[in-house]
Amino acid sequence: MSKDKHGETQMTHEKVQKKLLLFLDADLSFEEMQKIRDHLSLCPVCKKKHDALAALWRHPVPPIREAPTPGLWLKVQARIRGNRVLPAKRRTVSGMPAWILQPLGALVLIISILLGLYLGSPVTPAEQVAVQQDNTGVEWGLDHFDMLPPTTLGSSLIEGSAIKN
Amino acid sequence: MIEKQRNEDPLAFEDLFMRFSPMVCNVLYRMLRNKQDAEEITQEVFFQAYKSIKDFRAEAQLSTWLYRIAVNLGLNHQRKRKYERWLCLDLYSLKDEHHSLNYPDKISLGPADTMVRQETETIVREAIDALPEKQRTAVILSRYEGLPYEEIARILEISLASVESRLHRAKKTLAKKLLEFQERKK
Repeated sequence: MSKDKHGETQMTHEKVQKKLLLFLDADLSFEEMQKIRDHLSLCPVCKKKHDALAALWRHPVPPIREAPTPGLWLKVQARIRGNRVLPAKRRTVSGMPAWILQPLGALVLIISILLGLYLGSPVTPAEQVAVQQDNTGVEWGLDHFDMLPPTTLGSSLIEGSAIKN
Repeated sequence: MIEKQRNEDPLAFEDLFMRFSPMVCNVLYRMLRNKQDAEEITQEVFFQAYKSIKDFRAEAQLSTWLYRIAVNLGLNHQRKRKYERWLCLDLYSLKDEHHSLNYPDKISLGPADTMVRQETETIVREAIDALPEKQRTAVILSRYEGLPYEEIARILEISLASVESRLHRAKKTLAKKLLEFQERKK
């Protein structure tokens, strides 16, 4: 809440918008309802949002009168007598029964893990030797980089500055 | 009716079923959004009710007691289906649950009005479906079943303050989501 020029507490737009559904259902205290009402009378932006929400929220809730199918009582009766009526088996889009997908999913997961372990396994001894050879090559190259010819651009510049001094 | 049932009158339970099954089926249909599932659980609700009717205490309303069984079984079923879907990628059920509800209406509206009304309800319904489970159940019982907070508290076996708090939080989230939707529409 912020204070207006008269020093009275005023609700911010964000707070008002958050409470609009509660306001529409009169689920707030009398004081809060009054504050929101005052804010809406002054703020066209929040008023617009209030009207939009009211259109969505206050429209009559369509009554569902889904009467259970006539055979349902017979099923309940059968269950009471001890003959359990099993629900219709679910089938997936592919036409496979749903129960088969559980073990299938687990199998795919195990295969993926094994494949991942195989592909990401540590290098073989032969590969290790090859890697070591490569490293030796790099080290050799670096050693030779240190031994620069005596007249490089850098050394001639250093020499030039020494002469000037 | 309860006394008759306690005395094992076979017709009494049928009366009870005929009277309350549409109510139970409706709330389950609202929760599960699938007629087959709703009927399957309705069957289970009345079977459970039959088994435990002798323990039913007369101080509670029969409808509240049946609502409580229905909501608990409905929530269990939802959790089970969620787990199954996660495990099996059961695309069929996902597709089925996203069908908008078919509202048979007594007031005859023009096709355009019906379309607008269904579209509006679908928007609200999707926002409600995205709520956390506890808040969603409270909203369904309040908005669609038109139950007072006290009865919702009895059905969910929580305090009145908890019902108010759940609905308060749910309505704040819904307001945000619905306003975001309106912004996107522009």
